[in-house]
Amino acid sequence: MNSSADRIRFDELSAGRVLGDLAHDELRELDKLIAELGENPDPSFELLAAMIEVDAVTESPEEIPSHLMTRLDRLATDLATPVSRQIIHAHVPAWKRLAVHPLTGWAAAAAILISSFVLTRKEPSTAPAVAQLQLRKQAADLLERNFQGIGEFEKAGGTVIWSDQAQQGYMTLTGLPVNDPRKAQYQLWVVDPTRDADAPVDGGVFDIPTDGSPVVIPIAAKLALTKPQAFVITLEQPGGVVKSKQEKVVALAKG
Amino acid sequence: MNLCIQQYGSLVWGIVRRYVKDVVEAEDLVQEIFTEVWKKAAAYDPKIAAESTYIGLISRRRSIDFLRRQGRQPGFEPLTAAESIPLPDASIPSITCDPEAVKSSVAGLPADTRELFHLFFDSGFTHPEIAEKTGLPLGTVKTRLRRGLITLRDQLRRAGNPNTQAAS
Repeated sequence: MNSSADRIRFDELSAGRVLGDLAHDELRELDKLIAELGENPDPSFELLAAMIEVDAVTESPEEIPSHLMTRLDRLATDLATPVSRQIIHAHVPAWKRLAVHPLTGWAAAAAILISSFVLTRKEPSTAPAVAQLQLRKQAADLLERNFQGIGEFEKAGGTVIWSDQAQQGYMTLTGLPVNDPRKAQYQLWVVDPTRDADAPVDGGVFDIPTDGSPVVIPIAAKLALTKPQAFVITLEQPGGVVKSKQEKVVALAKG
Repeated sequence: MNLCIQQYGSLVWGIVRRYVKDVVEAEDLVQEIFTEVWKKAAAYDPKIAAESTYIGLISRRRSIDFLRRQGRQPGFEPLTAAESIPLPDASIPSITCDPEAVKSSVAGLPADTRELFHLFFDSGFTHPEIAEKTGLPLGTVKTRLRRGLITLRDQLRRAGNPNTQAAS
C-alpha cells in the first residue's frame, strides 16, 4: 500500500475503533499502521463520537438507580480518604499475609500523594512496551518487583514496575500459559497497605496471547494505589471477578 | 467527586446502559468509570472539550472495552490487554468541539449515512441490529458509519471554528 492508501485505511480503522466495530485482524492492522506511520489515531474521532452520544443521552435521560447513587457516594468518600487497616497474621488468607503495617502519618502522606498526582499524572499515549520504558526513565519513585510462579505455574516469571506519583505500572511476563479468554482470564491484584487487606485492588484483566516471548501488560488499577506491597496474578472466569477466591494463584511479586 | 457524580451520574449511566444490558454489570462499570474520571482529572483540558464530553468519552471507551473483554460484540473477538491501544489523551485533536458545528455537520451528511448515525448514536442500536433493521450488509453499515465520522472530522477541520468555546 502506498502512503496515501495507508493514510485512508488508518483513518478508517481509527474511526472503526471509536465506533467499537474493529475485528481482531483489523486491530492488528491498525497497530501496524500506527507503528509504520509513527503517529497515534486522531483523537478527534473519539471526541466527535462522545459529543454526539452525550447529546443523544442528554435528550433522553435515564434516571440513575438510587442504590447506585448510594454506592457512588461511598466511592467518592473512599477515593477522597484512603483508610488504613489493621494487619495480618500468619493464619489468615494470602492477601492479609502480604500486607504490612499501615504507614505512619498515612493521612498526610495520602493527601500529598493525591494532590501531586492530580497535578502531574499523564496517561501513556504509546504501546505498552514503549510506555514502560518511558516510565522507567521518568519516574523518580519507581518500585520494581520480580514475579515468582506458584505451584503448577512455577515457570511463570517476570517483573512489575509501579510509580505512585504517575499512578502507572507495567508487568513484563514470561512463562504464563496462553489462555483462552472464552474460558478463563488472568487478573492482577494489588495489595495496598493503606486499603482493606481483605480486598486487594483489582489491577485489571488480561490475556496471554502467545507462548514464549515476554508480554508487557499495563496495570489498570481500579483505585488509586499507595506504595503497593504485593502484586498477585490469579486465573479467573472470563471478564474477571470483583473479589478473588484465590483458587488459582499464578504468580506473586512482593518486596 | 460528589458534585461530579451528582452532575454526571445520569449521563454515565445512560451511556453505559446503551452498551451493557445486564444491570449489575452496568452498575459495576459505572463505578469503574467514576474511579477513572477521578484518576484522570488532571488530563482534562477545558480548552479541548466540555466536561460532559470528556466524561462521555471515558464512559464510551470503557463500555466498548467492556464489551470486547466479554466478547459480546457479535463477530468481534475480545481485545487482549497486550493489544489494547492506549488512546492519545495528551494529543491535541484536529478539530474544535463546538456542539452547534457538530450538529450542523451531522445534518449535512448524506441521508443514508445520517439515518445510520441516528440508529447508532440516538437509538443505541448495535451494528448487527442496524444491519437487520436496514437490510444492509454488516460490512456496509460499518463502512458507512466509519466514513461518516471521517467526513464529519474533515468538515469540522476545514471549518476551523477558531473562535468557538467548549460546550457547558
